[in-house]
Amino acid sequence: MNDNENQIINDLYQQGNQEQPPKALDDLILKHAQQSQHTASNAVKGRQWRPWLAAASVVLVLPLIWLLTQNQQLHETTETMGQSIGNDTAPVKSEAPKNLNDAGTSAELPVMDEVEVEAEASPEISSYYEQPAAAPMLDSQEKIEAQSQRSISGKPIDKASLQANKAVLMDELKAKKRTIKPSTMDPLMALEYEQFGRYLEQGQIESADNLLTEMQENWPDFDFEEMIYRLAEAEIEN
Amino acid sequence: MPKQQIDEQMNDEQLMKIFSQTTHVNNQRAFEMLYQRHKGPLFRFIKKSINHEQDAKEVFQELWFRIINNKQQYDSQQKFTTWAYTIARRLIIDQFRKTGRTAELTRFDANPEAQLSEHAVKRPDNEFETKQMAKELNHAITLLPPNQRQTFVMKHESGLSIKEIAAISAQPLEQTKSQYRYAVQKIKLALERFK
Repeated sequence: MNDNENQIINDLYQQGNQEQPPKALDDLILKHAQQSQHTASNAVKGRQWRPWLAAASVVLVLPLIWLLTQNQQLHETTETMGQSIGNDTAPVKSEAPKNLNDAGTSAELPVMDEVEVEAEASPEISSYYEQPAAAPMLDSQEKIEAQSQRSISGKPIDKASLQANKAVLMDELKAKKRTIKPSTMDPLMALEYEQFGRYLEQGQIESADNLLTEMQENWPDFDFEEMIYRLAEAEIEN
Repeated sequence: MPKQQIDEQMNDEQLMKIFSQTTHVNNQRAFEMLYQRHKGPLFRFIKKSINHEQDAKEVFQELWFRIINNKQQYDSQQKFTTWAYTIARRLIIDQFRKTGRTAELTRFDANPEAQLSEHAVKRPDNEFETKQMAKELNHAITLLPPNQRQTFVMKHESGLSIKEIAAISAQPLEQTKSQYRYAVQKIKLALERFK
């Protein structure tokens, strides 16, 4: 077949073939194309929001985690609140030697007693608790502890567990105290320590007691158990 | 957002690329141009291949829905017409299977040499004769075996080369050449009376 024949056949074919699809079909197909564009466009818009949604969720979740962590820390802190309050300042007061006969050492005293002693010594704490008498203050302290526990965890804590924690904390605090020795004392403390000994020898129990109190306030890191014991012995002898 | 302008000089592949970009402001316009260019040839190809008006409309609609739905899979390195005719041919085969006319697909061109014409096709003398010859040619096409018919229509509807038709039909080049040659000879035979 030559090109001329091919051209004639092609012309004849084109002449008799101008049929087009129905208009309704055109509309249907064009509408489908348009809808597919909207669907795809919406999908793209949805994808564009994904990073922002992820960021927003992180922003919301992080504070929640932080709050939970803080709540846990508060819970732990409150459990040991009784001990920490009682040991932040020097716990011994002039009544301490009087209690030695019953309780032995200050470290063995119940924590509540220490709080009571401290409440008398420290005006800030006494005003905080607003309890002038020792006996009512014990009850009040227990109530405050119980309420604080309830406010954090929503249920009261186990008393035995609380006492065990207090004992552990007291042992830890005691272990951290420095023993009174010539090598650990500074010169001023060494002089006062010698003066304390002289007061005892001279039978000046009250002066010795006052000096011991001052020393306990000035050097709270030291363990004055030995001096308290000596003072108590001197009181008994006199 | 891309703002590439659409114009009539753009080829099919460029239009298809714009259409496949969901964020392109002119993607619908690109599709409309593409559809206007190819709706006629593809509709006639399907109709002549199936020889059934209603089935042809169904296949034609399905073809364009597939083009729309699979625009993201379109490879712009591939010629649009090759892609579209490949889909159309598969849909036609599916339609034959659905309607139980698969025998037509495998119909052998029995004794083709006996039907060949040695006469050249003459150019029509006037408009009336042109119409008569065109009508006769169309009738002859409907009588061709499906593979020859499809090859002939693809060649004259969309100007595809024999090589492209072979690729679309998934058959050897020589076989496609033979199909086209036999189709032309049979059409020439049908037009012999206009000499």
